[in-house]
Amino acid sequence: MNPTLPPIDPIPLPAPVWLFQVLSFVTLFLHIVAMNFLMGGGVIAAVSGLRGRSGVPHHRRLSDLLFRSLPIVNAATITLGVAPLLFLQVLYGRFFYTSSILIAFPWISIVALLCLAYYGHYFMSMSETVRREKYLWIAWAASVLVMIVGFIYSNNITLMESPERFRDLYLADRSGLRLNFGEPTLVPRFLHFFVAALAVAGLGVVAFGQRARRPGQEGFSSWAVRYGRNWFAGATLVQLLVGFWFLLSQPAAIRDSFLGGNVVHTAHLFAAVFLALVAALLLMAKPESGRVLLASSGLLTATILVMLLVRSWTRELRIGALAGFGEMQVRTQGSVLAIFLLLFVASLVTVAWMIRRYVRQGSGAA
Amino acid sequence: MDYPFWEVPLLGGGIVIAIIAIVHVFVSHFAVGGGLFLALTERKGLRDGDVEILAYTRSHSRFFILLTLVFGAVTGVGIWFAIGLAHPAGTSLLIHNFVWAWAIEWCFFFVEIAAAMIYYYGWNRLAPKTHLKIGWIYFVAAYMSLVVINGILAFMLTPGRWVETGSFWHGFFNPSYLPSLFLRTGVAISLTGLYALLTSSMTRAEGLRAKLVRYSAKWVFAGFALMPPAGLWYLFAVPESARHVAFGGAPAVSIFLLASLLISVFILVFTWAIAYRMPARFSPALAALFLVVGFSVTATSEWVREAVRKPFVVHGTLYSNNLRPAQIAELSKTGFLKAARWSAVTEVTSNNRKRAGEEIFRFQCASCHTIDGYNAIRPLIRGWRESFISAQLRHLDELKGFMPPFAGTMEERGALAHYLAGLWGFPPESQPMQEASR
Repeated sequence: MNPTLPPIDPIPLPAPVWLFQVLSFVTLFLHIVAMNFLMGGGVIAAVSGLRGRSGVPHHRRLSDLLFRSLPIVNAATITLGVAPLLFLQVLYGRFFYTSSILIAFPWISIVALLCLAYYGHYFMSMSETVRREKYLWIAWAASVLVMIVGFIYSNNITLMESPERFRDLYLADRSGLRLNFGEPTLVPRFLHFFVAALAVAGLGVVAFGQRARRPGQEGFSSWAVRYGRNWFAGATLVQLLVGFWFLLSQPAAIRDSFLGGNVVHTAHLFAAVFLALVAALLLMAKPESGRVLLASSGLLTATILVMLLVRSWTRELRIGALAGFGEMQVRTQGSVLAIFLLLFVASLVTVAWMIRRYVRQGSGAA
Repeated sequence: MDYPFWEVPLLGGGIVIAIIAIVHVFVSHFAVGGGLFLALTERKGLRDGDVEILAYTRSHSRFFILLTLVFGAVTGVGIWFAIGLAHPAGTSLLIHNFVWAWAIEWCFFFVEIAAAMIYYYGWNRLAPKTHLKIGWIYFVAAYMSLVVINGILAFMLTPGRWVETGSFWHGFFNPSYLPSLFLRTGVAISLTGLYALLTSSMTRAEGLRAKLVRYSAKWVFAGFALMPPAGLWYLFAVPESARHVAFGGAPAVSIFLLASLLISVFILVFTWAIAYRMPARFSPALAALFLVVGFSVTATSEWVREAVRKPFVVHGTLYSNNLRPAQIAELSKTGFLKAARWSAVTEVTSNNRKRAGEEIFRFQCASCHTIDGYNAIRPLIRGWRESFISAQLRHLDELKGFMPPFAGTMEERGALAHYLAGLWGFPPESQPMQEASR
């Protein structure tokens, strides 16, 4: 039986499907990187906050650094999240709106949860160490809120890829209060993202440590690069298990496709695992080296990009046949599209200019 | 009909959108006007070498980013979440038409957020000239995001030639685009004045406080100066049906419009009488009261703007209940329930009339009406007999211009009437129910 789905919007797409796919991919990548720093960095900051409060000075210093950066990371995550959500709605709106309505209340609660987490991060970043240590629970609460937001996202994205269940779910419960607990991939998917976030944020800590390397600061610097490295390597090891669970939880056809059924799919999945492991090994060997940091960051970037490809193939296998891209009319809005592309470049240049001024004048003043 | 329906007990999805949208509008207009305020006030401080003004600008900027960057930005995303839940078909229509406009707005949003952060964190770090430049970049990006989003908002009430051509530019630069932009610019500047009254009234040094309060009051006046001509222009630009609803067609809307105008005049008069003439006496409590009053104007005027669009989400194109005018005739022949893919029943039988009626209510009426909460249906049909309800439903759009026509067969109309009459325990018919209503 064909699943119940809303009809394709009669208004033509304002650009070809591939362009939305490319833009989705690029902007989702940026969002995922920022989100990893937010979710993983929030946890590491809270852990270090605890250890710092019990008197470990390096942890105190690290948590100070992390807390100060979290509002910025929060802003980046939200801002960079808007674009992929926009493009998702163009291509998969009828899946996405339907699944959102099925989990409406948890979904809309994201607005409040994000707001609270964001203010929590600002509170921590604007407080002096004493106040920060007194109210450390706020940092934990903000981290948990960010994780809940991530979990709700996992619910919606897995549900939107299960249109065959839409009608039954809706008729069984129209309250919009549910989550997608019936989905076998839900928990491993969320854990997969969460553990990856810890790894990426661990790499961020290595970078912080290397940047702090100044005369008289060697102790903190060499501690921080190792501490960050441990998060990265530890999380990557755990990821081997979580990732395997995530793979096993997939429907048989998808699982088989990534386990030899489709050579391209299989090669990409294993390449991603390999790249992450090489990055971890390099960091294990020489965490202080700037070159190793650069190489690991490059490898990790490649891992995320390849995993995003894997993610889009999984979606293709799940709902590709129903997406109806072939039936969608296209009427490209050439002039507006050109303006967007120009402004996209201009906005990147402007932001890069501002950051450069900020970094340069700051180091001059120091 | 095409999408499942989001049930929000007592409120309805529309009110959830309204709540998020109103608080967002109240903050986001400040985010726009406040950018100009920061840049001009900092420039004034730098030009006059006035360190006190600069210190005030700096503390105001902290309040500014905490409010606009967090609450403003997140509620903006929140509107989007809410409209996708309450009006999925409308959201899809808007996204298909305007995805590039939204993408362009996102570029400005990106610059806006980055500039706000660098501006705030850069007070001690950047050279004054560069810092001021960042302030200007912020303002230009913030204003441009209004310039873009205004096109989509105005489109919903006055899609203009887009209806025939489907052209992006016709939809974007629609008949109410410019008046709406001027009106919103005025709102942004005057709200900025109200917010600045709050932060300036908190300044400790008395002489400085008086100076700043007066300065902030001038922003309120400047914003208000723009609003009457822009408002009048806007009124002439909106469809005749919207003017009709605003001026007596729907008394509640007219009352809200009047309230919005009266409270605006109240703000203007009291800003002049107290803040401008007796700035030293202007206290933070009073400033907070002004803000609350300002919020009530925002709430009422945004509510009026939404209400005059009824029965449409996009005027002439998509009704509030996610149906399109072009579908109505067809559905009257083939049946609504058959087409309502998320309904639990697909046709009216002699055994399921109440259930079928309830489903029709859910997918055709509940976008605007709850049973007992906001815009409740039960009190509206008190004492109505089933046949009378059915007759009303038959001429819904003619009887009430702000309602869409009923879509469905005679049997479906009868089932809906049956369900609604059942809400009052079926008031007795004075004569046998006519077959036509079945």
